[in-house]
This record gives sequence, C-alpha cells and structure tokens, in this order.
Amino acid sequence: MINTVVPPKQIDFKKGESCLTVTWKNGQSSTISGSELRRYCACSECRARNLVGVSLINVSSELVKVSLMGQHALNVSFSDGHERGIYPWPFLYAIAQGRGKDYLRE
Amino acid sequence: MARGTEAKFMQLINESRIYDALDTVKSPLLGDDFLKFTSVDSIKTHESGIELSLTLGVKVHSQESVLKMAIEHALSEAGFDNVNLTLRSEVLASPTLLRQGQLKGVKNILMVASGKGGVGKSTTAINLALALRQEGAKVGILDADIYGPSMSTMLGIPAETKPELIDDKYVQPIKKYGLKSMSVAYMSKEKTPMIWRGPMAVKALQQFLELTLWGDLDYLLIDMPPGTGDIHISLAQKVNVSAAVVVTTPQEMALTDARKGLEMFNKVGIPVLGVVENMATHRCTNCGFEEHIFGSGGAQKLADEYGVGLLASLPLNAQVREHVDAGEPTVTKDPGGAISRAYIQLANAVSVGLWRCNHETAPAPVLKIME
Repeated sequence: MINTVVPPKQIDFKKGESCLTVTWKNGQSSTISGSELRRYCACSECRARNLVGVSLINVSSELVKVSLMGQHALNVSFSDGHERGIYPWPFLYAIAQGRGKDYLRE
Repeated sequence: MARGTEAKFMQLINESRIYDALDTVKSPLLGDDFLKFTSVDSIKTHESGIELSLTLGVKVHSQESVLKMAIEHALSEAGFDNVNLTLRSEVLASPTLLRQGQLKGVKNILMVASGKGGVGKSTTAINLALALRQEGAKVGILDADIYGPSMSTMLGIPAETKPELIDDKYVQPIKKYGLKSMSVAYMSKEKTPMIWRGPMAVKALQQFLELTLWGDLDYLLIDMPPGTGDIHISLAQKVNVSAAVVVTTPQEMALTDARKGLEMFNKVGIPVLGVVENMATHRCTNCGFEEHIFGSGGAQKLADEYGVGLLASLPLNAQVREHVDAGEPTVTKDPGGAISRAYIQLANAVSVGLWRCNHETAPAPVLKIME
C-alpha cells in the first residue's frame, strides 16, 4: 500500500514559512510543519532524548535547509542547528498522516 | 478529397495491425512485452510494402539480427511481407539520477557489489564493462575500492601512466580497450597503500565521480568494495545510483553476505537487477568433469528469495584469472570464446534489466525551494 504513495513527486519548501508541502505519487498532497518534523526526528541523539524524557523543542524549529538523500529519504536542517534528521519516504508519509510515533515504535 | 480520407483511414488500420503484429513478437532477450518499451518512430505504407523504424532502449549488437528476424517473422505472419525495417538503438537514461558535476552526460550508473570479498566482483565488473562496450554502448568504469584498487592491473595500465589534469581541477579518465576508467591506483604508487579513514575515502570517491571528465556515457559502472560500509551508503545517498548487480559465489558463506548486500540496497531504495553467480562450476582441465566446488543452486535460491533474476552463472576458470592478471580481460582477449559469450549474455541481461527498470521507476522527487 505504501508503494502507491512513495516516492513523492514533488516537495515544495518555501523559505521562511517553516513547512513543507509534499505531493505524493498518487497525487495526494500534505503539509508538514517544521515543528512536527523536529519532534519526530529519528536520529540517535533525539531518540535517546526521547527515551529519557528530555524535551526536544526548546528553541524555535524553523526549517533552514532541505535536501534529498538519494532516492530514499529527505534530510532536514533546523534553525536550532540540528541537521541530523533523515526522513525516509514511508516515515515522512507516516508523519504526514499523524502516525509518526507509531512508525517509530514499529 | 474523399479518396484522401480513405487513404488515411487505411493507413490507420494498417498501423493498428502492425502494432498488433509487433505485440506478438517473442524475444528471449527482451521478453514478450517488448513493445511496451520500444518506441515506434515511424510507419510508412507504400504500394510495395511498409517502412518501419523502431528504437530500442538498449545496445545489443549481437542480438540485433535475431531480433530483426523475429520482428519480420511476426509481421509476415500478419500479412505484411515487404517490410523495410530499421532498428535503431539508444540507451534510455535513468530518471532517478542526480547529475551533478561531470556526471551530466552519464545516462546510467550501475553498482557492481557483493557482500563478501573475493567473489570476483572486479573481474566480473571489468568483463561486464567490456562486454557492454562490445555490444555498442559507451561505457566507463570507476574503481571504488579505495583500499584495494585493481583496475590498473586488470586493464594492464603501466604504473607510470597518470591521468591528465585539466584546469587544475578536472581529470581525464584513462582510456583502454574503448573503456574510460578511473581508479585511485592511477593516482598513487603501486606500493603505497591508502591509509584513510572513512570520511576521507568517501570524499575522494565523490571527487572521482564528479571531477572526472566522463563525457557522454551510456553506462558508468562502479566496482564497489566488499561490504556494506561508508562508501556504499554515501554513494547511494549522494549520487543516486540507477541500479545494482550483486555478485556472489554459490557457497552459503558468500550467500549470507550477499543477502546483506541486497537488504542494504532495499533500504536505500536502489533497485537490484539481479544476482550474478560467479565460480559456479569448475571443469577439470584433465578429464572435463564439471564440479560444483562451492555448491549449487544457492544463487538461484537467493534470487528467488528477493524476487530478482539470476543474471548469469559463470564458471570458475583459470583463463579468466590469467587474462585479468595479464592486463587483458577475457572479453577482449578471446572475444569468441564460451566465457566471453557468457559475459556478453550477462551484459545483455543487465542492459535489458536496466532498460525495464528505467521505465518502471518513478523519477526522483523534485525539490522546489522558494525564497
């Protein structure tokens, strides 16, 4: 089922607006905010923080830079200097559907 | 006026009949649905017969006459006897490639990888490259094995040959046997090892890819180091490889590693064209007995497990080893031999696989950044 939505066709990033508009393969599109991406960052540091319960968002989490990681993921830099988050397409889709937490747990 | 319309109508009917006839063409190489991928450039109907021009997305010189015959046969079955068939071929470019730097003229990048070392990746890669070249494609090969480069030995390139530097930044690849090649071995002395940490090796490799003047290439092969390490990940993420081929030997120990290689490609979203079984059998030079030294059927099982094809099963042969050690790989040294034919078959399977793959894969997402 997931193969019908990923990879996305297009990702729009408007600087200063701090959200992404992702158009999926099936034509559906979703808007994902920077803070949401920041919250679900799956890098080891953020996961560790999550485990011990240290809050993640202490500074603003505007999107600064977005780049493609080959064919499988998106890399995002935030305004708090964090730039290690890599979001594979299925994960990005899960976040867009509000299921980011479930995806991480799986 | 009415006659003109009628002629046009006839032309349309003829065209659809020709398409139907083409649809019945069966080719062991291209499969039954080859019309889906082949573009029909023009159909002209004359009194005396029809003129048909097709474009294939692969270069398969050795198979062209057979294919032509199959097409002509299918057309004559449908009642078109005087067919003037022109078969052109132009390799289809991968839609997913991010063409940075000097890679803009490169149509496809193919990784030749394996989980385990010593299964004959480099030998397979160089022979595959030369076979693709023999089939009419423009081919380049990059030796990504920074720590154990072998390209200069296999191609017989003397140690004093250094790639030419252009504008103090770009390098000209070394051309031999019609193949453009680049390797870290060309830059260093034979005895000097590259004692580099991961990030350094990755950086060097990226520079090799992006600063080498590859020019127009149909295929750029990357001969990967064994394993699933730093170099693999960064290549997958930075250059967007079109597809990969996994080389393995039939023994269980190589298969477990090959499985890891396949898993890695799945993870980073690189399509795997198939598995190449190397050193499958050994024919005794004394008595001609054929022995499965490393076991049999393993690669087929692995291919089935991942739903990919077994592209070729190559024998363990002393000649192949001698030829690469002497600097002239089997495909160029003995082009008519059984082993060269096996490599040509592999090349055909790879190019057709890549062609199909390029048709099926969605293009890389467009990232639009607005100020």
